Amino acid sequence: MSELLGIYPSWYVPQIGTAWVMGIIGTIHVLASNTSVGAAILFAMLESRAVRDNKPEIMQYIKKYGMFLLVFSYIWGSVTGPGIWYSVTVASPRGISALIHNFVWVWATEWVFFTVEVIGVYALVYTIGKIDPKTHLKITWTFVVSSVATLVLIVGILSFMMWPGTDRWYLTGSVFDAFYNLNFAAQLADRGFLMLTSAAVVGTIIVAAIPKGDPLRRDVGQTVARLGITGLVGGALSFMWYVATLPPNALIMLKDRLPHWFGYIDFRVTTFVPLAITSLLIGAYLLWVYLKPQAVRVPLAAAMVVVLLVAGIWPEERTRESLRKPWVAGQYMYSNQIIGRDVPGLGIQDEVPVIAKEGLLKAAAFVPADLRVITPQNQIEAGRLLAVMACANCHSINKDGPLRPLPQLLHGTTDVAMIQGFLSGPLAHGTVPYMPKIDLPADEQRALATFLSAVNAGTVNAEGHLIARAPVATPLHTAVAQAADRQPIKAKD
Amino acid sequence: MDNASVSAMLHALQDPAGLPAPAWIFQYLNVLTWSFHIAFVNLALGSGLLAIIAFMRRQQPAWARLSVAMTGVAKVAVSMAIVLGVAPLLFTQTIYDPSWYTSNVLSAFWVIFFIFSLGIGYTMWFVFYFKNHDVSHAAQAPDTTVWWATGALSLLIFDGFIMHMLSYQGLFPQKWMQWYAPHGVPVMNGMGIHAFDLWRFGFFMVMSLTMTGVFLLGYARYFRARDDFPADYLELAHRIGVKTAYWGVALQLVTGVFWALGLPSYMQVFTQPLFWLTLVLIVGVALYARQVPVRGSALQAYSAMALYALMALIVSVDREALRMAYLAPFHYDLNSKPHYEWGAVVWFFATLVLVGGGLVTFYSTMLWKAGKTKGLYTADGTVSRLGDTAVWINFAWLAVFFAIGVWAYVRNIV
Repeated sequence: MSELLGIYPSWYVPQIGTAWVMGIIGTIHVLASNTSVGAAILFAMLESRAVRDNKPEIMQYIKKYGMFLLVFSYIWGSVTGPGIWYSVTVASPRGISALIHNFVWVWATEWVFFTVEVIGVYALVYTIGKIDPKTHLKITWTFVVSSVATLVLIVGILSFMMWPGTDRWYLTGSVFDAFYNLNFAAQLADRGFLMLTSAAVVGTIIVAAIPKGDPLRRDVGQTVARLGITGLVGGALSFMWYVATLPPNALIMLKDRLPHWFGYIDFRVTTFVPLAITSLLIGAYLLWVYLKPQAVRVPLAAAMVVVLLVAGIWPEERTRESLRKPWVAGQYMYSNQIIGRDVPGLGIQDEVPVIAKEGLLKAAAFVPADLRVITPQNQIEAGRLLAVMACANCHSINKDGPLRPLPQLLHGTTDVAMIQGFLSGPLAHGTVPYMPKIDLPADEQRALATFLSAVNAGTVNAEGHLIARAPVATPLHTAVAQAADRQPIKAKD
Repeated sequence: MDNASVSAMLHALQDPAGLPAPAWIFQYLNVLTWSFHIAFVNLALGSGLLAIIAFMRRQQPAWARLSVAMTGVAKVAVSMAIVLGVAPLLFTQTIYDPSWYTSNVLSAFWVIFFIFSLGIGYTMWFVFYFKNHDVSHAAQAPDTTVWWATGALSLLIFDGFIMHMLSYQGLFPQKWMQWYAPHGVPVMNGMGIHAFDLWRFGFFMVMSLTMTGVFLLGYARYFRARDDFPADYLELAHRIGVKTAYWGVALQLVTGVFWALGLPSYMQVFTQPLFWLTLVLIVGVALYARQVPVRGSALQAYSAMALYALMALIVSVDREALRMAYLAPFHYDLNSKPHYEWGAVVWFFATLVLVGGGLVTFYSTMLWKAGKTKGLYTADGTVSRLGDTAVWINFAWLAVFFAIGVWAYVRNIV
């Protein structure tokens, strides 16, 4: 073995794939953490007014929202924060390792603020009415700045995942060049505004819990609604700035998702229209809260939080994840854990040529000895391992999987030669803009193609188990005819 | 796999981006922050257990009060355990990335289970807290309320086991391939629990009793300043504290010795000064706790907690020393891929000392003084100045952050 690549074992999740596991945990965390930061800003606004105008009754709203926040954000937000790390660790260990080793000091700095934030939220909630208002306001302001600091620190890392924006980082390897990247400020603005909206929508639950007829309802309800609408408008504007800072591969993906009047040519709107409808719905709701604060009810407010989570944050996060394909970090680490370009500043070398020469099964660290050499007997098992290692991070291998299922993308063909043609052509040459360059030696291409054709034929399932005896290869003309008969099937996110 | 192959595998798995500072800095930070983390894990589990036991005796007012107090302590301690666990998690995967990532992927199902069970367990504890947070109504709570607490505590203990398993599996790189592909075929469902040591896990669990015992000594002393805390209640807390610390230390000795007996013979653990130092410190906590008088001074009471903290720190050092000993046959080199960037190191430590130090000093001083005051607390000059300083430090940090950003951004685009 000439060169060993540090590729970790694989975790395979049937159907939804590991990407959705990360996505579900990430979405819960985004709602909880966005709400927490936005609520901190809301608290500071309200409490400053309470102290300035001598309105202690406002503090009751802050106390109730703070208690709610402890359960909502500081149980599930705290748990899903490290939870994202854990889920990414098992789904994409090399991806998270790349980020950790570039940004360990940024994350350590963020941890300082996390700790302050957790102590701060308990101090804030439990000392209302127990310490003098001026001192309490200082707690609130330190809590606000610490919450905002956690936001600005994580956005630098998230935006680097999209791309560094210039070549400088590749040459220096400096964390400052990586962190303050081209996408950073725009993404910070976008997230900053949208978390105001999150906090406002969640905050309407507490508004609804204030007794009807209490003047506090109007006072606080209108403040909350104003904050949320400001967040929506600011979020929409900064989204346009955000789009202007995206890399070319992300813009190609966006063509599939934005209407033409947004500046792109295609009118296939898979994400934009649902997100726009969600934004309008939430905007209308907040406007209604502003106009009729006495009419808000807890079930409706809770339903709007669910709408925000399921129809707002979930598609938004999924889109952001999709846009950076095929990369997972800094446009040097592919989603499938293979390094796809040199980073001279850190002495990192492109691994694609090594794989093309040696083969993924020969070069990767965690491959059983028997599968390093492909034989007719182990071809299906070797092909399955290749499919999991090279493809499963972004694709379901099951026929009916929801995550860009490979069988559907291959139009169900059972033609080994046709699949191998794709593997040795566009995929090996890296000409599909949102796909990694996967340049496998001929024997590995054939094993992978044989496995995929067997899955399509239904003779083998995605777990590699034999279902029934049947020929795995179909004559070329049959496969072409089959493919021609089918309508193109659009990949799901 | 022979040792040379394992060594080559470990080297290949180390992240090619390397370490942005010398490994010893991460090691020291890892050891230090893990000791903070385990202290709050111990406090959460120990106070949780005591809250349940006291709840069962809630017909007696002092026990009811103790149950309510410990329920609140456990609630905050879980939060602190989670947030303080982030740092050692970060530093571990920075220097021991091959061990941590491989072990996690091999047991991926349990990693995901950990996230949701921790969330559910903690939510259940909050439910118990909402039903058991008012001293005046504690005695009337129905018996079934305790199921929320026992369910929560069971989940939290099992989560501790998952963390133990993930750390422990990482110590055996020679077995990873066999665990991944036991019959030459990779098993990729992540369902496996491949290695654990119940004595080691038990040692960390029973440390919870020791921690909670010394905490109670401090608790009883602290609230002597409040005349709304009856003397008999505080005496009960003190007595239970001594007893709990005794049990904790005894069980730590038993589990610790069995853990040591099970270690590989080449480590010669019984000839290591670190082993005996740990033993002395564990026994020292019990002996010290025993002689703290019920109406002793603050220094006497709080020193017991300091002694526990020292013991936890040395246990953390033991843990790191063991990890190095387990990986020694494979010549695992923490420093093999350096790319130091001192600016980032300065950035972190400046934030830790100035922001972390400044804000935690403000919060803790204010909470300390407010907690001793019945009714409204008005900040004195010291707390007021600390508060002003904390706010200014925070805003100054943000200003410096964006100033660096402008500098780096301009440097990037010109």
